[in-house]
Amino acid sequence: MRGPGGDRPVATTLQSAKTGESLTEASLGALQILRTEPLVTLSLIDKSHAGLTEALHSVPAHAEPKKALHLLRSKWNVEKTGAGGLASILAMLRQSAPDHCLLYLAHHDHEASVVARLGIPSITVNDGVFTDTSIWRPMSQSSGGLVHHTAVYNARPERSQRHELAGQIPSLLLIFGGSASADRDDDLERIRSILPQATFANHSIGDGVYKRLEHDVTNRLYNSVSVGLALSDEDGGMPSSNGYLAAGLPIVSTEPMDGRGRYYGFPFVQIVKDDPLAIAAAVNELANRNLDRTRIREAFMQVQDFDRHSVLGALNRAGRALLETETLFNDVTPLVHAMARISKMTDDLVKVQNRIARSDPEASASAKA
Amino acid sequence: MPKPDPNNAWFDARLISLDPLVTVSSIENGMVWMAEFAKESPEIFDRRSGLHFLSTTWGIGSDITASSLAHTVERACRCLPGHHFILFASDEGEQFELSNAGVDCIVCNSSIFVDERIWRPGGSQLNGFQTFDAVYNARLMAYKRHELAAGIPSLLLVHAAPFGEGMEAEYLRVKNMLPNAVSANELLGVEWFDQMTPENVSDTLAYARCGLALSREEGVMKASVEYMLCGLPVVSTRSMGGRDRYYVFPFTKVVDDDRDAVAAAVREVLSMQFDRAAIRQAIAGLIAFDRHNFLLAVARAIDKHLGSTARIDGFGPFRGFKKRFHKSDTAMSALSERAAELAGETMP
Repeated sequence: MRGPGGDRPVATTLQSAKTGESLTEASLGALQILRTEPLVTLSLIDKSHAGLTEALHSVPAHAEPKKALHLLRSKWNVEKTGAGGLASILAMLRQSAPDHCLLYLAHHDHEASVVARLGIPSITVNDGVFTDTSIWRPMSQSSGGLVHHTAVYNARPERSQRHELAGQIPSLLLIFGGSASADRDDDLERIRSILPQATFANHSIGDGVYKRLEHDVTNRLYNSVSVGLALSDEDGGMPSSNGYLAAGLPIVSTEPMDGRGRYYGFPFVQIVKDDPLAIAAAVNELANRNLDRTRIREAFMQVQDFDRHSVLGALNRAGRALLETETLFNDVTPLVHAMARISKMTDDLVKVQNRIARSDPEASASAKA
Repeated sequence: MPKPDPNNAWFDARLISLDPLVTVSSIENGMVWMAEFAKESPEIFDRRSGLHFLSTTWGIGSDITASSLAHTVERACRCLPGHHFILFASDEGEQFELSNAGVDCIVCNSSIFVDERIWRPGGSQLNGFQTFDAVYNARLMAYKRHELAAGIPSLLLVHAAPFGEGMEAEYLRVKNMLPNAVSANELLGVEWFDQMTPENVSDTLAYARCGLALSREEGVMKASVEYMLCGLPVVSTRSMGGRDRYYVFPFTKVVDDDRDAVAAAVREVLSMQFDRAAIRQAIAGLIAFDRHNFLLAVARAIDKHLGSTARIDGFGPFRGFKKRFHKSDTAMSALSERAAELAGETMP
């Protein structure tokens, strides 16, 4: 199967025609430029605002080009937060650059339809398209001294992630992402009380203190377990689920009502009821099958390539219709790299928050405010 | 596009579930015929709500536009007030077009309805058949651009008659244009104006080493996936309609609209000696992936629009959809028979 293609350089600067000011990625914040002439950007929408609105206001050069296409993606499940909030965000965006075009990248088809009803065209782009298979991969020297666990659950320490459903798995590794806050400490205590048997990877590696884990460390941990877990009922997409697959882990998941189910059509993924016993039984069954990690990874990468091919075709079709440009992209690399840079910025921000939280909880609270 | 004539309406429709009401049907000549005839089957359609999936037989492009489809859906909604209609987009590109026109859709390429149990390598021995470098399974119509196959010396044609006036003239035109081509229909004793059965076509594909897809614009061209399920590599021109969704493999070649380029690509894929079983396995994997996600999207739509957590029992009810089109009375009778079956299944 053909891959996403070569390594074309990604446009990262934009010159203001009025001021001559050259804007680099650093000044653009979470707004990523995929190409110029015509301008194509990628940015995220939060529950209450869009990074693009701020960028258009604070750096007028962004709004200057006559032709531009802004790709938007929500960090949250639009269905849960309601389309009303999104509608007001999109209305503000349209005001900021009335001649520019918007294209929403939805986690699944229904979300795409919800957004389309707000008057914004939309295509489905699953998180799996952005999964970096050079980070998430099976390793021959897997654990490097790490203790083997039967299952891993990489999820935020929030109630929506339903950690309690892993209660019947005796050998369980937990990885927590997200920021460190007082609320979060409460959550960690709650999880410790319901899953006393679990190993908290962030704390084990941090000598008893929460330590945010780099991707390569998390990948090594994946290589020290047999099965990945996905137990929430309201994720936007759950990127860690795709990381499991790229690293060669079979998955036990509860009924997926979100985008993560896209890659669950394989025999090495078991969908079970919201029942700790059923989940533990499925974990045991998959762990005992000693599945070939390389084959799981290859199966995932095949459909990832397929999805990337489809997304590329759709972006170019949108480019022809909205910008009258024959070919916007020759491959999806600019989109994938832009999303990786946005994720990196988010990670860096969380690290700073964590440092502040550890050194001065009060300052952290006021900074957040 | 011909003017819609309710006295000559042909379509395919399936009743997927009676309670909640879920159907899938084809759009022909810009009409959702099933909705037009719905009042004749009150036992099925006389309900407050229902969910109806719609499939076009032609891609979104110059002839059929997203806005024309929006009008089609509006008209269907007037036939069945309170019911919801969702179009199938053959790929994310069509999803963009439809969403840009405010039309509700899910991504579903109709090639996933092809019955993989019929289309497979091997098949029965056929008398009088030698092996051909390439096969073109296409209706004898101008948009199929048979002329682009003229550079292929060893060519097998599987064909059905054109629609409308001048059928025989079109048949003779293609015959004259491709004097070396052999008609599978004639070898099998099927009249040139008749359509071969899918089983016969599948057997025929065993005698070819490569499949052709040469139109610029049409529907998804299910024949393209049928070739691959039978283990044939595919040479195609650039196209609109959705068949290129599955052209992600080394055994699929997309070339310019040029007879020499087509012939060269055929020679190239033949020289690569692909394994038929491996081709079938690769395309079957993508079809399975698309079917899985289609069923997820259907389940979500039923949940969101009908407030039901009912699940469709696997892909079975959809397999083979659009294999045959039926006159309106036959299509509606089949729906009623299915409704009676389903009602019987739920009786205590």
